[in-house]
Order: sequence, then structure tokens, then C-alpha cells
Amino acid sequence: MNASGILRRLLRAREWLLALVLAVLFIWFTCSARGGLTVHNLSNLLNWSRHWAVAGMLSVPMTLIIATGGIDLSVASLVALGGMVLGVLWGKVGWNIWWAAGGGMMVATFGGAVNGWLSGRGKLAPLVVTLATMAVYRGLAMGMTESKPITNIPASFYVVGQGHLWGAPLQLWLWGTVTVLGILVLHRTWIGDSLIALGENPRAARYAALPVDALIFWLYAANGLVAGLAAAVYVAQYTGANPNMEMGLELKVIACVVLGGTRITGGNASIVGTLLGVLIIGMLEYNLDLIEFPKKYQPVVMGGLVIVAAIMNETLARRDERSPIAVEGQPA
Amino acid sequence: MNRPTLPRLELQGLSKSYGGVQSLADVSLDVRPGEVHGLVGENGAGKSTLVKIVTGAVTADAGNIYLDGDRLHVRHPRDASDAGIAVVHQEAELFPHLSLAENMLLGQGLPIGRWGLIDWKQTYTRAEQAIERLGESFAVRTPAGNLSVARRTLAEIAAAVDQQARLLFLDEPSAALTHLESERLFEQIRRLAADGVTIVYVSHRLEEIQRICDRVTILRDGRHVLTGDVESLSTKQIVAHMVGRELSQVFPKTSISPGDEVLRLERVTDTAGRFRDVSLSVHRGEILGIYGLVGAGRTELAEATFGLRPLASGCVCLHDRPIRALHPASMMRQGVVYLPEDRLVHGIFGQLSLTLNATIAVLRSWCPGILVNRQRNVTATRDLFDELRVKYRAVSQPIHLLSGGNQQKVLFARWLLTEPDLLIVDEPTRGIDVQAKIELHRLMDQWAGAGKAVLMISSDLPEAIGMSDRLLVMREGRIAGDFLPRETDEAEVAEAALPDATSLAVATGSRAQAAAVQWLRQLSLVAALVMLAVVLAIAEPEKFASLSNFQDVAASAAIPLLMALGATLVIASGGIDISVGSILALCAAVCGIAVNRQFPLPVAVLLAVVSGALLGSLNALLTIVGKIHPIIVTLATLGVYRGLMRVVTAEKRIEGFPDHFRLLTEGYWCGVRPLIWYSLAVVVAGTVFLRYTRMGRSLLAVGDSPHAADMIGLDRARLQLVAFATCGALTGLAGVFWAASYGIVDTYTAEGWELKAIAAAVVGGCLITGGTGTAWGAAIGALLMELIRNGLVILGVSAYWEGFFVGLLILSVVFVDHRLRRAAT
Repeated sequence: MNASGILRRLLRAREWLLALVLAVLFIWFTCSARGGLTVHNLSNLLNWSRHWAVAGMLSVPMTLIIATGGIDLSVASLVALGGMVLGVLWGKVGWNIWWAAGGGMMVATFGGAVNGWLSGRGKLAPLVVTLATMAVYRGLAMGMTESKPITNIPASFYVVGQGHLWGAPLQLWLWGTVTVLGILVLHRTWIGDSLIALGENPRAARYAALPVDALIFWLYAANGLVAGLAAAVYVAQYTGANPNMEMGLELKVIACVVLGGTRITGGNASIVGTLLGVLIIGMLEYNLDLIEFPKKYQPVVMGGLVIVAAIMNETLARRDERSPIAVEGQPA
Repeated sequence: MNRPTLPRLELQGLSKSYGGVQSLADVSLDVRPGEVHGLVGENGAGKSTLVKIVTGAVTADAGNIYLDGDRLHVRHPRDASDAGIAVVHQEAELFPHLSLAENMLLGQGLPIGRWGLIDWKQTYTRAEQAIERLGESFAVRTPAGNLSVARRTLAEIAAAVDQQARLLFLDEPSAALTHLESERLFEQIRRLAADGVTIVYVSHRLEEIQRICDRVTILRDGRHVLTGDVESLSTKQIVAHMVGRELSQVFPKTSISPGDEVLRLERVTDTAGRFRDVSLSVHRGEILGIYGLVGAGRTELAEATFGLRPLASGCVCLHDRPIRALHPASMMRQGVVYLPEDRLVHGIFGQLSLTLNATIAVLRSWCPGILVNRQRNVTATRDLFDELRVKYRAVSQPIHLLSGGNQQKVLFARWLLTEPDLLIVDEPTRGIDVQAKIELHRLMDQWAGAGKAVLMISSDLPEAIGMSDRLLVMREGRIAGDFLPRETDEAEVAEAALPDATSLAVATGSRAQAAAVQWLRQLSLVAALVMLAVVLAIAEPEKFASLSNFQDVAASAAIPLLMALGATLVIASGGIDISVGSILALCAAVCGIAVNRQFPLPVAVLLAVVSGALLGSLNALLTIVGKIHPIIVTLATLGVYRGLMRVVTAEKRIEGFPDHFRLLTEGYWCGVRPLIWYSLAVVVAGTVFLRYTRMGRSLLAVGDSPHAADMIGLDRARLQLVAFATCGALTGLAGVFWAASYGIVDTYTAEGWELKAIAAAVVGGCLITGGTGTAWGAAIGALLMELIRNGLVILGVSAYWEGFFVGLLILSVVFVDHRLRRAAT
């Protein structure tokens, strides 16, 4: 079998491997939950899974961003900013909560657009840009209310974070929609193909007349939009906004993407893999909670997981080594 | 000279193939000691492969190499240079931010002077002397990246001579030199030969070969054709051996009467000066060739026409209409496309499928809406591949598996699918087997015959002459000749491409400007510091402008300074570490706990520092061994180390330190706060390390150009480990000071401080891309950060805005640095 066949086998193998891990975690759950596999426990799990929606939604654009060889460290700060703007627009300025949510989303989108502009037209490294904007947006979120939280948002808004739609939590539908959109864009549109090409060889992408700057701009802006949406969900879930919200979220989101098989160097992407990654991390956290594993160790587990997953990615990819390429024999 | 003696270099049966193309086939030759031996052949004849094998850049598939009779095993450039073999390439691989002198001497080790430190005076002197021996003299202290290609080449030659190489390979050395410089070079070569140095001179310029070489070897299609005395071979004979076949067989260009004009360039000039005042026009049905040597500006001209480079002046007219917005996408839409020179770097998407590579340019326009029609793409691709006779197994296979010739055909297919009117091809058949070459030539011929236009750039003279209807020659950025190939002598064309005595090397004015700009940036940093201090002093004189406050600010800058210095080391070596905040917290906790348990003070401090070094080393190991990008590693360890800290402290605050510990940072020593003394000591140590030790310079080199560092045998892994470990140790020390000065260590200690460290480093002049960084720069950066924080407090701005300003500062500095770098090139 030729190398491309093998490569595809590997990729498929990875998603099956992830599904296997997920299954193991599920079995662990049935063992740890009181009473085992009951409707009550399952519906608790389903209810709880709405908390994964924030990371889940953000992991979709992050997959695409990492596939282009970039990264966005400012997602957590974008969520915080979106949430705080929502809170301030409603709490201090007096807007209707729904308009405030829209305002928060717009601000978060703008923040993402700034990332995109600096990384695209500005040609700065996304790593540095988002490292800096991570601080800028978080600082804005904090400074706006001098680090005081906004609470007691109207109950009519709760549905965004705690409501149900056709039996399942609304947030799962939102998350699912974002995921499906992401898969569509990645696999069935010229945008997805172009992003992969961009990650594989950024210089060749420009020479191939791809609209590189525009693609990057809109990608990071879309990331901001999703962050704004996630912020609204968060605020509805926790009935308020606080400037320290979702600290460390960027690590979790990147962990999901890396676990899912998308390589940091760019050139490939698997949203299904990322989805499995979110579910795995979510189930892992849930199980750890069930057995009352100390919360303070969770970042340790998360960090370790990222490292192991990244090493695995690289090892598997290296097995499909590039063969020496003819151009080494340049004109003599 | 003619006594029977061991050859300096002997090659036996050397063979090498790349992905199906036999670059060298069973080549045997010998080079006598003290001779100047020419090596000639067309493009693709195997010259550079041969040089690469002997100098260790690639390994031969078969064959032996003997140096003075001893079998030579070269697996790496270091092996070659240790054996006394030196090479000067056309495009020098060097460290752009290090001085020229350092570039020249780094490979063999910078000279050590007093106290085991680098003797810079001797370094500069030796470099200057080496260059003077070539009859030149120019500034050796300038960063190598600021110098012209000509000067860098000369410096490399000087360095090779200085290293007393026994065997010296010169690859097209005169390509970037003026006539005068070339003459001086030839003198040097003669002198070196007389001293017993053996020189292999690779060149396209046959007159030069005739002038300075004793013997010459001719290669053709990877095989050895002939080695003979230069006196017994005329230029015509050499050319005949090089080409060795009827031109008409290879280049089937049919004559055609040209139609309407498709493209017209009117006096276009490049913003960077690579080409000036170029005018040309291409018509339907014709192939307009552009011939020239390396550096003549042809590729830049093509890139500018396609919209990849900005034009300073001039007009690009398509179908007699001037184009306003020069941009690849719009050029493609209007029917002009460009196939780049270097298909690996600018052409193919190696791991992606043939279909994607072929359809990438038309993806968008072929989509109904935004959805891709995969079936149509695959069918169109297969059809076109069959037409072009691409040899492949499946359209879904990755393109890197194809041979060079087939890859090039796929790239042709990519542009053909856009249905262009004009195809600009840059070196269409470089590194390609003969069969594919003929097929591509036939394709271009057919295509022109169908009424399209082709602008073909080639440095392959027979190809240029055989394929073009009209042939332009570019020389040093200008059009130097316009020929009808059928009616012109090859030699006339070749001569038109050669620079003459009146031409000058690339203006060094712009380079000197770049150096001045860099100095200005550093100076403005100090100025900003002073200005900020003055502004604050005026705004709040009672609160700010007192000596004790200044000392307070300077003392509180100590911790950021240590971290900034650590960040500088890591960033300068090409990495990044965002876990330093967590490292500080953990080390502060370790120190605090030790002190509270009555450990002797030095032990507690040592524990903290060693812990830091270990944590930093772990970061490095995960990066190096796991081959993960440091940002991911340190993003993960950021959480892990903070978690570890919570475990170690059992989530309790650590406080109540004994007085003798607090004294570490309290009080005054000779009227100055202790932290300021510590800072000074660290800055001095840092400066000594980065400026006066070999390890420090190697660290900067590795970050400046990892590839060049690899070539001269620097151990990248070890140096990165040193950088991360030292950063960790410095952070550990900062943790000690934190515990001592604040008296409290809790789970929020130093949260977010990694950003401050990086900001201070970047502000202080450490380029985020690596290769630069100074201890005093880190110090100034840290002071500036503290001033800003102090200022915010004094002006009554809430501390919560600090991150906002720090982030903005990083963005501004990086943005400015980027613009400065672009303006300099």
C-alpha cells in the first residue's frame, strides 16, 4: 500500500483510538457513579455536559487556527471580555440583556479581528500577537469594573446557559451546530482546503494566489465571534460575569485540539478528533469529580495530558517520514 | 609541480540519486595538490552535488573519497572542515545578527583572552587581517545581515583562507562580485595556489576558468566527461563537451508569428533596487526568454509583475491597459500566472494530495457558492495529468512522493487550470530529468502555438537560446541585451550577462542605514525610560521624585529583571517559556518552607535555585526529546508547576519568615538597597555570559539561524537546555527574593508574571525571533515595566489595568521591530 493509504489508515486509527479511550472513560463512569448505569446517572451526565460546551465550541475554530500553523492564546481573555461587556452593558449602561449579549459578542469578534489583522496583514507571529492580546483583553475585562463581578442577571437569560431544547441542553445544540459548521467548512469548502494548504506551506500559499491575509483575518475574527457566544453561554450558566472567568481555558482548548490529532505545525486538521478530545477531557474531569479527586491537581492532569498527546502526535506523524525530495539536486 | 605525488583529492565511483534522478553516476577524478582545478557543466550536470558530497552537506550513495591518500568519511560539514576542507557557497549561510568577524571565526572558535573570556580585539583584528589578505578592507563589526552579498562572499573566502584549509571549494564566487573585486580574487587564488592550497573552482564563466585554472573537469548529466589541461582546451571545445548533443533534439520550439501584445512592462523599478528601468513586452504565440546570472534581478522582476513584490515606479500593462492593483489574485484573474523558481519552498504543498496541489488556485472560482465539487476536481485533474503525462499512482497521494519532473508538471497543471493568457515560468526545468525536460519544453511550445504567451526565465543558456523566440539578457537589474536567438552566437548572449568593470556592487548605503536604525532603537529605549521618569517626576513630585522612591522602583525591578534576563536567554536561543510565573511560585514556596524549617539560609537559596534549574530543564527536555513546540510545552507546564506548588504548600500561605531571611532584601548596603546590588551583579554576570563566553555566543547563534548553527556543528539541544535551565535558575533566585521582600507566598504568587518577563525582554531589544539579546537590555526593559507600574499607581489608575498596558507595550514594540526589519531589507 502506498504512503497516502497508510497515512489515512493512521489518521483513522487515531480517531478509533480516541473513541476507545472515551469508551473506557464511560465504563469508568458507570463504575464510579452511585448505582451504576441508571437513567438518573445518565441524565446527570447529560446535564453536566453542558459545561463542556464552552470549551467545545471554542475548540472548533481553534482546530482550524492550529491547522494553519497559528495559535490563539487569547481565547480565554476574549470570553472574559465578551462576558464582562455583556455584564457592563446590561448592569451599568442599562441595556436589555439580549442586546447586551449581542454587544458582548461584537466586542469579542472585534478582539478576534484585531488578532487576525495583526497576524495577517501585519504579518506578526500569531503566538506573540495573542500572547499580548491575552493580557490586553483580560486587562480590559478587569479594568472595566475594577475586577468586580456582575451578578443577578435576569432569569429570562438563563435559558442560554441552562435551558433545554427538544430534550437536550440548549448548549449542546449550540455546540453541535458550531461543530457541524466547522466540519462543513473544513471538508467541503474551498476555505477549508485553503486553510490546510496555508498551514502546510505558508509561502507557497501566497505564491498560489490564495487570499492569505483575508483568510487569517476572518478565521481569527470568527474565533472571536464564537468566544462571544461562549461568553453568553457562560454568563447564563453562572448567572453573572466575573473578570477572572475561564482562566486557563486556552490550555484546555488547545489540549482538546492536540489530543484530537491536529498537529501544531499545521497542515492537517480533524474536527471529529477535536470533538472526541473535548468529550474525553470532559469525561475525565467528570470522573475525577465523582471520585473526589482534588480540584487543585486538575491543571497538573491537563498539562500532562497535553504533553503526552503532543508527543504522540509527533511520533505518529514521524512514522510517515518524508522521503528525500528531488530538489536537493539543484543545478550543478 | 609535476612530480608524481599523491593527489590532494581523489574521488572514486561517486554516485548519488535523488528521488529517481541520478545526480551523479560513477564519477571519478583527482585533484592535484596546489592546483587550481576548474569544474564545469550545465545546470543539472552534477557540479553542486559533487561539492555537497565532499563538503559533507549530503552523503553519497556509493563511492569513496580520499584526501592526500587517506580514506575520508564525511557525514557532516563539521567532518569536512575538521579535515581541512572549506567551501564558499554562492549564497552564504550565516548568522545575520552576529558581526561579520564573528561569522568568520565562530566555526573554529572565537579567540580566548584574559580570564578565559573572548578576546574581541583579537577577533576583529584577525578578521580584518584575513580580509586585507584578499586586498579588501571593510567593517567587520557590522552585523553580517547588513552587508551585501559580495562582501559576505569575500568574507567567507577570507575565513576559509584564515582557517588554513588544505582544499578550498569556490562555488561561483565571482557571481556577486564586480570586475575589480573579481580581479583581486583571482590574484588571491593564484597566491593561495602558490602556497600549496588546492582550489576547486566551480563556475559557468569559461573565460575565468581559462584564466586561472590549471586543469578543468567537465561533467555532463552526472557523469565525468573529461579532465584536461586548460591550455589544451578551447572554450568552444569545453562547451561542446558540456552540451554534447544536438540542440535541435532537445528544444523543439516551432517558429510562430507573434500576435497581439499581452503584457507590457514600462520602465518598472523595484522598491528594493533589485531591478531598475526595465521595459519589455510579450505577445501571443511567443516565448520571451530572460537570461542572466544569479543576482541579475530576473526572479524579482517576475515576482513584481505577479504582484508579490511592490514596484517603486513604472507601469504594468495588460492588453494595453495599465493595472492599478498589483496582487497575485487579481493578476491571476486577469490571466497572468507565475510558476516560481524554487518549487519546494514556493510551489508544492508537500504532504497534500496531487488534486489539491493542482486545483488550489482555481478552488474558489470553481466552487458553486462555497462548497467544493470534489468529483469535478478529481476528474479535471486526472484528465490534465494524462495530457501532461504525469507519472503518479493516485491523485490522492501526497505530492512529495513524485519526482521533481512530475512535481513540476503538477505545478504547470495548477496554472493551466486557471486558463491564463500569459504564463511566467522561472527556471522551468531546474533539477529535472531529461525526459521530463523535453516534455515540458514541448508543452510550452504547444501552448505558445495555441495563442498563449510565455515569459521564460532561465539560467540554462542552451535552453534559453533554444526555446525563446526573443531573448532578453538581464544584468545587475537592467536589460543588457535583446537578441533573436536564431541569429545570435551563444557566446554573445553569455557575454551580455557578465557584469563589467564599471558596474558597482549593491549600494552599501542602505545597509549602513539599517545598522544606524538598530542603534537608534536601543537609544530610544533609554530615552523613553528617562522621559517617563521625568514625566512622572513632574506629575507627582512629592510621591515620585524622591531618591528613596527611585531606589524603591529600582529595587522592585529586581525580580522582573531576573525573569527578563531568563526570558532573554530563552528567546535569544530560539525558544519561549511562559511557565516562569509558576516556576517562581514553586521555587519561592520551596525556599519559604525550607527557611521556616530552619534550614541554613544558603541551603534554602540553593534549593530554590536548583529547583528552578530542574524545572527549566524539564521544559527543555520535553521540547527537545518530545519534539514539541516550546509554547505548548510551557503552556502545559504552566499549569503543572502551579498545581505542584499547590500540592507542596497544601494550599496554605507560607509566611512568617525569620528576620535573618527578610534581611536579604531589607535595609541599605552602603546607602543602596540590596536588591539593587543583586541586580547589578546579575546584569554584569549576564553581560559577561552573553558577550564574552563561547557558550553565550553559540546560544545567540543557535537562535539567529538554527540551520547555519547546525552546519558548523553547534549542539542546538545542549544550548537550548542551558538556556532553559539558566532561565529556571534565575527565576528560582527571583523566587527567593520574592519570599524575602514580600514575606508571603501563596497560590497566586507571580501569576501572570511570565508576560511581564517577556515584555521586558522584548522591550529591551530581544527580538522575538531569536538571535539577539543583552543583559542590560533586559534590565532597562524591567525598569521600564516597573516605572509604568509605579506610574499607574501614582496616577491613581487601578492595578487591574496593568496587564492591559503590558500587552499593548509588547504589541507596539514587536510591531515597530517588525517594521524596522522590513525597512532595512
